[in-house]
Amino acid sequence: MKEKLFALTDEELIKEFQDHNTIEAFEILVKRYKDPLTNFVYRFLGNKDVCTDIVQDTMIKFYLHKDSYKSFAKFSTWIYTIAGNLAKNELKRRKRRTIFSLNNDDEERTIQVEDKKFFAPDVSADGNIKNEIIQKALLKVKPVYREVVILRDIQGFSYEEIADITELSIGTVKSRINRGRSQLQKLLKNIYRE
Amino acid sequence: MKKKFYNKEEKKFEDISKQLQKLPQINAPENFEFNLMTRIENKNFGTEKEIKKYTLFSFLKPAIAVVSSVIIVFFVVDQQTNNFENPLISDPQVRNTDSPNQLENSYEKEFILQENAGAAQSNKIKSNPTNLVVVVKDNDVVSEQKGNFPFPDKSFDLDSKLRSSRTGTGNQSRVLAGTNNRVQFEGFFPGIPTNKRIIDSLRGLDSISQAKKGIPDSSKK
Repeated sequence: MKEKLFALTDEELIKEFQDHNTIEAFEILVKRYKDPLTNFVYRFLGNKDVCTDIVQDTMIKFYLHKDSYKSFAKFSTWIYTIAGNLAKNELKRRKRRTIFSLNNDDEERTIQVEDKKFFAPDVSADGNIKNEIIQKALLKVKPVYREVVILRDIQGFSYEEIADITELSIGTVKSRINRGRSQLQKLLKNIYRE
Repeated sequence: MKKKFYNKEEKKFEDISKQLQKLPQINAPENFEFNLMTRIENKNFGTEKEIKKYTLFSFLKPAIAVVSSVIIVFFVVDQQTNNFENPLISDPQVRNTDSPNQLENSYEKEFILQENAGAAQSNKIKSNPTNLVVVVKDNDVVSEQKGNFPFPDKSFDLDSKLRSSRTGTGNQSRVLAGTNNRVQFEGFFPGIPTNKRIIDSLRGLDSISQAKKGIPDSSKK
């Protein structure tokens, strides 16, 4: 039975879960999407613990509201929409907290990314640190641009799929991706020089 | 997923796209599924529960709290105001007696001067008090006369007394005693009819003075 389910597509699995409440179908979908969603949410928020919680919440929402999925949409866009909305809510919650917080971590990040002397050229060449710098720069990009850039360049979705996930027009998605990339390029220009 | 290039902008940012693609994949923790299934089995849905909490009663809770606190505050304040006597609003206390013996620390003492002849005589004074009564004469001379207290009763209608004294004596004299209402002059008194004899005598005085000055009566006319 489970082997049969493994062979099914996402849409078929969710149909099985909707119609027969097959928990195995749900588990397979969780297995398929837990890593891509964790990666997406982590790149968007930059916190591993929080991103795990958000992906868990996404899966619980999927479990509780399975009937709100309509078969004409792709399952991947539906689940990414849920995860994206939860991640944005978390970001808003954090913003509210930082307003009243005396210690602002974002300021520290800004200094680290923009200070050219902070990283020597040989250190910048190191893969891990470079990835860290890119991640920090990504977090400095506006959330509306960051989301579409991650979906396009990291998750590899098409413009149409991103438009479905973000519920925006393709034109808006394109312009946002370009603006996001442009911001990112400005933030990372010191890396490219060296 | 295979990535499609849609426009020239894609090529413009090719480097940055490649850098982002090279970023390592972040995976979910190993116990992710176990934790998730445990949460589902225990029906520990976190935020979902919070949403279900918003019932009609939960919306009414703050309103009930406000109304009950207002009621409590109203009664507490109301009780406090009942205990507190505002001298500006409340009516002044009515004295039980207007007896001069009990009129202490008041300006009425100016008019009623009790004789303190000792403790032995005090009872006599109470039964038949001898007072100094202020009397206003015709020529508006105020004098004090010794005599019995004019108002023997404890309660006394001063208005009727004054009215009767005006009509009866023709404003011959006004008695001011045993009251805190001073008699005020309300108009002109009626003129006293002049005696012709006095007028003639005055005329005579006038003619004598004229004669002394040497002015004849005929020239006057």
